[in-house]
Amino acid sequence: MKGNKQIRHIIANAMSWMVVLCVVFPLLWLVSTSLKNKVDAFAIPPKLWVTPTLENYQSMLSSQVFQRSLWNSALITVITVALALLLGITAGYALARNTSRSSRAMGMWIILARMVPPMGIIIPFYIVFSRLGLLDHLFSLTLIYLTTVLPFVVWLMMGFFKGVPMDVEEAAMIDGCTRVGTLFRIVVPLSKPGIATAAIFAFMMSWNEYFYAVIMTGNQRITATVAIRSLINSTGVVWGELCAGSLIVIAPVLLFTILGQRNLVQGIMNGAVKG
Amino acid sequence: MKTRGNVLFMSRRDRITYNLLMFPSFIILFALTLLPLIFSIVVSFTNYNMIRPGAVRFVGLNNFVYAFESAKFWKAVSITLVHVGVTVTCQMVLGMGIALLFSREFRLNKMLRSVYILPMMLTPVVCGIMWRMLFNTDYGFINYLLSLLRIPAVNWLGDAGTALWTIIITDIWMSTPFVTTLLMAGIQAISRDYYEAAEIDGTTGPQRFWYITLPLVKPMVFLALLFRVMDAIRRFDSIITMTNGGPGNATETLNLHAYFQGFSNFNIGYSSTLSFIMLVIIFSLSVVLLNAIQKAD
Repeated sequence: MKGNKQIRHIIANAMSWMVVLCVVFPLLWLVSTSLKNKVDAFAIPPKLWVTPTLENYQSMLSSQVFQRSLWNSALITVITVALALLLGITAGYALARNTSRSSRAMGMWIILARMVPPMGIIIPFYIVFSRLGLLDHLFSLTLIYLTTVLPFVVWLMMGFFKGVPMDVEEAAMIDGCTRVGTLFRIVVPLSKPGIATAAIFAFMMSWNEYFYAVIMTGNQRITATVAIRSLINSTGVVWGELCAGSLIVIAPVLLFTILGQRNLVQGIMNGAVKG
Repeated sequence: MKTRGNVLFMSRRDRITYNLLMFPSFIILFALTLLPLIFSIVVSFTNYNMIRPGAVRFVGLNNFVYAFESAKFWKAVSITLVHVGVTVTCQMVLGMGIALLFSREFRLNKMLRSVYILPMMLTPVVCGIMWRMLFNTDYGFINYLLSLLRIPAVNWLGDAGTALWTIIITDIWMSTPFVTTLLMAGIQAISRDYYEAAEIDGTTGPQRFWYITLPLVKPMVFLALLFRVMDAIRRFDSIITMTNGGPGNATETLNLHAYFQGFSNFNIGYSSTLSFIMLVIIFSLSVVLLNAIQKAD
């Protein structure tokens, strides 16, 4: 009986490692191709180990368009994250604490906004912003990114704030703090991990965005995802450079995911359980 | 007592503060989603074409009739059904299995879990590039593995019969971690007492899964379903990156069909009609699933 259990445990462990291998292998392949020169990248059978070269990274980073696209992505992402956090923290707090019916209805709408398919709203955006001459502009892109990022941040923050005990707030209010003062002086500092999680998700969502960017941007405000996708064209694909570029694009996402990983999982769980 | 007391004594002033705090987000999302949606629905009854923007007029239900009689439309619908159906089913089954694996206590399980959630954070365009490379006919790794088994090379992305499956596999790779994360939240919330009591009663593992775990994580299962169905219907980046809807239109889902109609053919009116049909499908599905969640709770 006991031996049986141990065998099952070993099999389950082996399966867990298999799962992780399936997740990691494509990524390792991406890394290895990005370090290959042109001859090695096309070798048949594929070479797993080669003498690494950084020439792909050099040629990507020296490309003007790619540089500009990275800068644009960074700019748009920072603005979107800042706005989404400011609006999302206040709205999430109000939703977590206010239990009246009208507030629930408003909250429901904020969260339902996440369900709206991008294809359903992009056409009016495109028409209106092209009339206003705001296509290929930071302003229009930030606004449209908020439609996906903000509902998610509100949802996450609501989950976190529901977990903050109300006694602390009541104590602060007895000491003469206003409701808004309590939020920013007491509740926000207590929810730093939650806010960090929301920031990472907001960052990830706007940095990774492609659909709106490919429609709304042109030469000036091209984002990194659009730039990297445009490297695949009918004249053939330079895989080494494409992989190097891809890794540069996902580097910040990888970094933030690894730094904040425990909080990320907790954040989704909180939102799911308490939302 | 505490929470209930707070509701009872929530002052008028508090209520005003809460509404003010919520108002900016509400207004922004109202203006940026509901208004465009209404606009879009109106446009779907017109013949608006970007090539001749002057000649817009209402055409009633013509666009809808055209869609329902168009073979391309029904093909896009069936591709979407297969894509969403297969992807989500596999993700739920795999996601549940992996959630059970990772919920056990074992050495390194924290580290494995953190590596495992990477795909759901990665840029979908990059995931598309990665899998496009792995599925490449001449120097892709998957055909290399097959050649070791003496199976001839398959033109995965260029063959209408296999292209959709590469998209499905990529989607499963990308989003199963999200399902797992939600289900793990559900599994970890179950009290150990249930399992101990069941073990004393001499139940088997599968019985415990079927009669304890599954019913108790049901709300999470529906929640994961809701998120995944919504995201799979509007999946765009990875499909555009891997096949661009091709070969022919073998991977042109309803979402891509609407996109091409609008932004390649400039048929804004018809594209809005397709988006509207998609919206109706998404809306009815979410109502059904939200109801199921509330019932399961």
